[in-house]
Amino acid sequence: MKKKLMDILACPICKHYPLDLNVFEEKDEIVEGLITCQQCGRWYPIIDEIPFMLPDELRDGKDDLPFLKKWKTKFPEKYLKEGKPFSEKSI
Amino acid sequence: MTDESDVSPVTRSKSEAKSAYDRLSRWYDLLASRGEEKAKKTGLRELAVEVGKTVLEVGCGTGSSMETLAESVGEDGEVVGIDLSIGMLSITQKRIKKVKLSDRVELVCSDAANLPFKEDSFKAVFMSFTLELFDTPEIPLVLFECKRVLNKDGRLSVVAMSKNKTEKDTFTMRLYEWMHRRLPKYVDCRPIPLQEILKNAGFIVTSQEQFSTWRLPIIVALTKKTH
Repeated sequence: MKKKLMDILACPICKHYPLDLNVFEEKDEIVEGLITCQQCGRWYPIIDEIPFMLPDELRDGKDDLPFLKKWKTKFPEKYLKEGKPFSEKSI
Repeated sequence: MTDESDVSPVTRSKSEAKSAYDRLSRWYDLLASRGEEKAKKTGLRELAVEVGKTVLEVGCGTGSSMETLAESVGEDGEVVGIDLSIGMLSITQKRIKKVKLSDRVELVCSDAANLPFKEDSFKAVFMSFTLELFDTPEIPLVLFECKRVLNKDGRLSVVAMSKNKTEKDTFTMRLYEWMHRRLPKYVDCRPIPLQEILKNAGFIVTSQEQFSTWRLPIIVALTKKTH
């Protein structure tokens, strides 16, 4: 994913725009990172250059929780503590 | 209004579809028929994507159309492809890297009924063999989302297995629908009354062509927003 995509990305649930971006690992493109929605408190992971912008019912703890654990120290506190649909309480 | 009883329902869940397509992704290109390829090519030609524009493919699958779209928009344009299946997206990602077009391509894992883009983001939307995978009540939601992200003069090109309610169903159509009802996880798409659905969702069909695959009708419809 390239930073430019943030120009059009909106929250798939509450449609808030713009969203916030935290880059965790970057090469030619953003390899791993976090996209967050200030309005509804949801977070979306970027894994292997692909952002996962799925509604809650299609999110899978099997993928999302290891991601949250891996980047725990770089997660903004708000989303680590109260993020939707998963937070550190879900680990 | 569309009479829902005429269209077979989709009984497998979206997460089942997500996993099924992840498993199928490596074999998908071998299963596509020549009729399907021809219809897709026509849909892309009709959409006539211009250099420098930002376009979206809903349900990009293994990315054959993404490659064509990326060539059409040129180095100043942008093509965004979404799919529910990460298996499919990974194949598209490799394909696009191989042809060195990654600079103008973005891939997002998302659901067409909940698009993660702000309104007026795209000049054109392409959707082939995707709309008929959604359950009947969700089809208008997918089209509503396409309409929302398209800009004022935006165009939508849809390629779908279609059925005409006024014509008597052929034997192949009845057999296919029977298979869809009995084996919903394997025969997961089914013919839909495309023109009517597009009209109800607020799109005007500006041109239309018909093809066939396995003796089932495929419609390629180019549309624009009514307002």
